[in-house]
Amino acid sequence: MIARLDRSARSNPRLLVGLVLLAAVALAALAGALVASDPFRTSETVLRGPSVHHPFGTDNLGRDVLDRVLHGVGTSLKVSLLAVVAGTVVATVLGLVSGYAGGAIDDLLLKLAELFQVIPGFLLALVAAAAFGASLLLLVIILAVIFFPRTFRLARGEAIGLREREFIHAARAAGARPVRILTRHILPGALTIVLVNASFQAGTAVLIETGLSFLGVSERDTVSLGAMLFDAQSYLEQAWWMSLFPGALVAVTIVSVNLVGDGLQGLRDVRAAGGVGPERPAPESGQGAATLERLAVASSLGDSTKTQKGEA
Amino acid sequence: MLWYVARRLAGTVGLLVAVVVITFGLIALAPGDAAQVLAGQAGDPQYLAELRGQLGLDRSLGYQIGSYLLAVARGDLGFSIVQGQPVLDVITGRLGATLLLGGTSLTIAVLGGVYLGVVAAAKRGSQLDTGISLASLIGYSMPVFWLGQLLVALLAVRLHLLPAGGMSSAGEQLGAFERVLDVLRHLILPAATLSILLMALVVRTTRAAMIDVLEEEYVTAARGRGIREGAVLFRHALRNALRPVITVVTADVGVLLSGVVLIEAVFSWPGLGTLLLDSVLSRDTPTLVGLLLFSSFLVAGANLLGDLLYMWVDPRVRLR
Repeated sequence: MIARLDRSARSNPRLLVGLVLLAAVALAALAGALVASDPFRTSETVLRGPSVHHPFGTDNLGRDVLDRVLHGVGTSLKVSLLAVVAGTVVATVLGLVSGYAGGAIDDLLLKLAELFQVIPGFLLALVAAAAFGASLLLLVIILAVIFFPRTFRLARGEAIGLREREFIHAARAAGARPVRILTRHILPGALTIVLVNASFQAGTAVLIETGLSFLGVSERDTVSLGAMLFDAQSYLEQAWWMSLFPGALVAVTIVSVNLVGDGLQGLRDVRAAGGVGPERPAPESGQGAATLERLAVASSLGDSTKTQKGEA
Repeated sequence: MLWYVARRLAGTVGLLVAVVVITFGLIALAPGDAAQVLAGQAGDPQYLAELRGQLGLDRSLGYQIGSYLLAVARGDLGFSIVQGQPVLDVITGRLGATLLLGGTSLTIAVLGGVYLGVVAAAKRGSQLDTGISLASLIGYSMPVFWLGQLLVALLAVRLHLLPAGGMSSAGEQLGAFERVLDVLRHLILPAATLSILLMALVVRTTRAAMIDVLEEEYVTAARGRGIREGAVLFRHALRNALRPVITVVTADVGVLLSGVVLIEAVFSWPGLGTLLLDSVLSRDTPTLVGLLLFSSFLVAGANLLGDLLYMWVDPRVRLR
């Protein structure tokens, strides 16, 4: 996997640029956790523009915007990573088993996925956060629930597509147990599309996290880029830097994961076109169809895209 | 066809019932309730009990859900004590503003996005295509509320070209025509912001679909017959490329709704989004449940509409 990533990064500028940007964002978050000073320390120097002492200026309470931005991006990454990993692992396992085995449980899980696709995810997150009080853990859980249906359907679709292929029949005839077939034969085939999906969902998670805290629904003692933008709203006239830097960082973070998603999708296309790996047949006409498939994967905030035509 | 619609509608009703159950469950699990909000922090226990009795909060969760569903079937979404009127009236009172904002943005996004997508696909690989694709990737990744802020900071605060928020200028006596113009002036910034997000989605979908369609033989045949390129693109190819666009647009009503909430907050637009936010802050449970139900209904309805449109554009599609 790593070797393949390395090889394809060279022929895949989107993936490369995305990974570099993402690494920069992650470094910023690391700097926030390790080097930056207390993001809550107030001072007399309020609403100062960028200077040597405060490269990103200070806010209405005299807090250093750079310190806060570095801590804020850490919050976004943490929430996004936890939610996407949790949601992806659970949904992929259930999706693969459900698609491979079929039956009543498959029907039930599919109904459940359908249900959560009708409820607009962002609104659900807003209501839940308001009801339970905002906490990062709750946000992670809700995001994972919001992300469940799409990942589940993708993994399930892959399992159904692969289930009747000859090499699976061969493995079964050779006496391989279902667990082995799923982990050794079906999972590798589904992995790329699941990863593509996960990277787009990581972007959505950042959008929802910052969006909610922008609306005032966030933990009080964590710094969030969204909450910083909410503060900035009242000072647009005096202090543009209060809005510019946090917002730009949110945008760069999301652009980077979306580029990675685009790039990974490119990997999948290359493999599919070359007939390598247990992919479903290559799209009829190269890039276009694949882009569509990716778009189907990449619904933004609401994650409410319905079943694609022809899916399983 | 009618049979299909009826079955889909029945399925939608089932989903909406499930949405109600989930919402009630969520609110019941949460600490505190509407009576506490109404009575204030240090509410007198007897008064609290009385309020709970009035609101039906002392009944079992199953009973509450059941009676709510029966009421909904009669077209009654409950009563919002915070707003002092029936939830249905509260929602319909704000619906117009949201429809104006959402409808305008969606129209701009679809028209502009389809046009740009077709152009990008026709000039595939050119600098123009790269520019359009890159712009749509960035537009798609932009947090809408920040984009709105930047536009306010630049066009409203700095250049004083447009109003920074609200739907109309307060305190001015205006004639009917001037009032319409006034609302339009207020509409420009929020609608522009929201349509950038949606347009990015439409551009990406249209471009991808057009690239596929343009490689088909009937397009080559049309070109071979000497039909003008514009007509080939927009009359022959686009019709088939529209199918995925319809799917994405109707399926992304959820995206539209969350965008609306954020945009309305940035521009203090008096629609359903600000209503939702107010209800969250005041823990106005009846309104919250009503709004969530209403938006799920919108999403399900849009999905159904999408499938019907799909069939209209492509009669080969048989609906099961």
